[in-house]
Amino acid sequence: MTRYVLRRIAHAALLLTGVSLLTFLFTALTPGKYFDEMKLNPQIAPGTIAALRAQYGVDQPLPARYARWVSGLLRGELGYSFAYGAPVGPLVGVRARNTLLLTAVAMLLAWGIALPLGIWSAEREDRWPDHLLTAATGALLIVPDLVLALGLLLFAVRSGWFPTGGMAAVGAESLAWAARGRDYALHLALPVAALVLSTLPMLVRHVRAAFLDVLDSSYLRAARGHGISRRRLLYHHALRAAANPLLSLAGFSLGTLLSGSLIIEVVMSWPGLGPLLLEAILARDLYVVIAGVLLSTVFLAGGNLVADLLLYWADPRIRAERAGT
Amino acid sequence: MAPLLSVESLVMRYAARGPGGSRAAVAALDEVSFSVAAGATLALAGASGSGKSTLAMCLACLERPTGGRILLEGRDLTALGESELRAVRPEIQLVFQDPSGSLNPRLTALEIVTEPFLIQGRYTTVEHVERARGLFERVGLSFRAASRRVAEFSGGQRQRLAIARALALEPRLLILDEALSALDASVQAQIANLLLKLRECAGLTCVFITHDLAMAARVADDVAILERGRIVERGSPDEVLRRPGHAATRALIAATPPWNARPQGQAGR
Amino acid sequence: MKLPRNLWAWIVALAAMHAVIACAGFLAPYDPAEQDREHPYAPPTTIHFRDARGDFQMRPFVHPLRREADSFGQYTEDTAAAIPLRFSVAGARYRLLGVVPSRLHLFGAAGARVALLGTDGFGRDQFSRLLWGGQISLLAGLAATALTLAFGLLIGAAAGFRGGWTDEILMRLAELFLALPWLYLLFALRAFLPLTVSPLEAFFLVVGVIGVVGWARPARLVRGVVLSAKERDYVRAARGFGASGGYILRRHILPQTASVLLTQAAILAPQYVLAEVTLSFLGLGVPEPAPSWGNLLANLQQYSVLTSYWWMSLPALALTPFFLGYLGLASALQRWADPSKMEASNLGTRW
Repeated sequence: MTRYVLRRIAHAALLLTGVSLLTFLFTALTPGKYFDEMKLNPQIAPGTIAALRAQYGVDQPLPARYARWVSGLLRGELGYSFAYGAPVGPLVGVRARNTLLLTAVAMLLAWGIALPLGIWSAEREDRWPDHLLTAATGALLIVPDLVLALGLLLFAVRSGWFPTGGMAAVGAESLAWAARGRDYALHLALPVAALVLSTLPMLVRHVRAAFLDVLDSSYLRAARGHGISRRRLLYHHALRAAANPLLSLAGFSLGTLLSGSLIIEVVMSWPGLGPLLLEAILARDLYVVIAGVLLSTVFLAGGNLVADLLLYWADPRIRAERAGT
Repeated sequence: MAPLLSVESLVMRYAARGPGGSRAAVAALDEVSFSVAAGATLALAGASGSGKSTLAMCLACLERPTGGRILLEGRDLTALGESELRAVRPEIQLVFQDPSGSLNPRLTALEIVTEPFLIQGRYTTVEHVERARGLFERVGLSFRAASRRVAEFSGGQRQRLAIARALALEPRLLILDEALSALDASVQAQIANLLLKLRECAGLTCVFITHDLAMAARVADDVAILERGRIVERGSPDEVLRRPGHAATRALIAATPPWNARPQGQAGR
Repeated sequence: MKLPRNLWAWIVALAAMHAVIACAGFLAPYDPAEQDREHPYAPPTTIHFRDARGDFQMRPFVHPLRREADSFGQYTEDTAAAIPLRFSVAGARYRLLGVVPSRLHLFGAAGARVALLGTDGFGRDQFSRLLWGGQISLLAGLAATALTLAFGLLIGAAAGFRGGWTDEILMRLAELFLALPWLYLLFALRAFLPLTVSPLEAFFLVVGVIGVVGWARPARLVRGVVLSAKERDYVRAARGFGASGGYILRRHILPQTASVLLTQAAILAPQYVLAEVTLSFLGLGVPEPAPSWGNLLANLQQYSVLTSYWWMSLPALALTPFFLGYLGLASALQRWADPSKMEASNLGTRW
């Protein structure tokens, strides 16, 4: 088991290296020097630019720059933000934590709803509740997440029940923890709702499809013949059998969730990586962009790793396959 | 008379993972040697895993052997480059076991049979149709079926189509890789008779690969038994069936369906 | 061509919707850049059928809008003047389908602005901008889809057919591209390209960026098809006749990729249109004054617009029928290509 874990971690590390290289290569795409464009920005003093050019070895060839950046990375430095005039690390760290919070809550909620709903629908295949659910998911599927976010924002503005942006009200730290929790929850509610609604239809349909496949299999029918209770059948046997496609789906849905969070954060003013990335792009803040992209990839790779490990634990076939090597 | 086909010490090794993680080389063909006279039919019989299909692929020049030589009328095929081989390919043709897999389901029967002409760049389009008509006739298919697709043919008809295609370039050597095994028993007999007829008319040399000894005895002049990549026995069908020398032969005889077995004395020509 | 009825239904529906957008010049009463500073944020024009005396009029008419004194965005109808709506009128110049110059518009009213969906802050007719913006957004999405599929086909076929190192390297590269959340990858690529560009340059930039990032998934699918097709006996038979790799790819293998490519096209097209809309919404795509559904929606980022001018939200609805059409098409295509199983895995993927 440990060998498998180590191998997957090594794989993820390799992947991240590749991604960082890829992102860094994108900087070589700039027609005309990137820093030249920065010179046009009145907020940045020419002295700063010269210092940064020297520090980041901009005039050096690409491999040297990459090497410098990686060595800095290993020391814990993520670069320097030109727009904020501060190291990138702490800047991105807070935002990343907020994005992670949003995404994790949305993921748990979405799966928490999709699993029972999908199973419920699969059990009633071809009967009207199933058709109703398919129609409902279809209707939701058609609404792009941008429109969903805008709609929820409008709802927040008009109803006044929810705050229209930010993570906490001003002065929230001074509240008692119950009130503070409630404040956080209110702020979290709509962005999470937007994310959940955008991924729910896909999840429900896939869970339903996976369970339809599994429920049909002969060994489950045999188990039912043995008199195993419906609940145990569903949540123990069927779930384990469906684990393979569902866990792959989990990894995939994390990617969709992260992408979706980018736009939803911007629209609903949630202080995560999304708005930061956008600002950085518009301000030509090179290292913030790279750090933001890398962090999102770390989250995705991490999520996939967890899914892989869960799959390894859940699916004995994979263990057997590995044992032969 | 010099043999048409001469196989010398053919070896085919694959790198494979053995149990326990060792990388052992598996020899699918282990020094196989035989020859076939022009106009004769050699049956190569063996159980599954004996190396039959690998041999078929090597003979048809679809895979390169690890070692040994394949000589067609004295010419070493294994020494030829791909472009030289292209000129020789019309001489050797292969009929596959499963006609559903060896015929492209999207093409019509006419397109399938004329494909060899297209690839080799022979004849005009009008001639294609005429020649196709002739080929259909030879294998006993109605030319009206020419515009139909594979799905509309029965198993036996599909195999006839595959044979027609194989004959398109007028090969000297025809290799049949379990060509009858996927067919029903009654259909097998029909196709076997077709093969015998074609052999007589066209003077084809055939290598008939199978696991069914009785069928081998029916169509072949000579039988060779293949076991684990080696030829373990060789002789006329009569000899091999009546006086099997090797354990593998006996196993094959035992495995032959009783309704296929012919009374002795009616094997071969 | 023999196709099932429901597939035809979706194709026709989508074609009709695209045709409407393609004829934007004719259907839109005004040029999308035409400003009317006298009437910013005017609500949608009411079309009247009953005149002041309550009689029904065959020809619908509109009242010109008059701005209320000392107000912004408050209008009343000048009921004294009743301006008839005419059809097949001559108006602003445009090029139909980008080629044929014309001045003919479906409808118009001389002396009053007929703003079916209201106007924006510059008094530009939102209806016209919606139609013209649709051209840009849809074209960008479709062009990007074509680009992605072209890359996917090329790379997938190369990897699947040649195998060995080519396959290893290309698939590892695909893995890299798939390791990034798609929108982040898109933004990263966009980030390092120039920001202030002309609308035309921006259009090609957007198409290029969107088209380049998504090749990995189609490439894998194509590779799968090529790998399994390569092993077929009829490919072996063709080799046995001396066929070259090129011939085999062309005749036997690539036709098999058609259904995968078509289905992917139906799945990716709406996603890519949405990607253009998102980029333009955030100011990274097609810039003003060129209309795009994205920059039409961008107005909603202003609080006042979001709350006071409800008609500015209407462009959001434009995407919905197209999404519905493409979703239906994708389902129908999948069912047609492989009636035995419902490939749920492709249904409903957004990013």
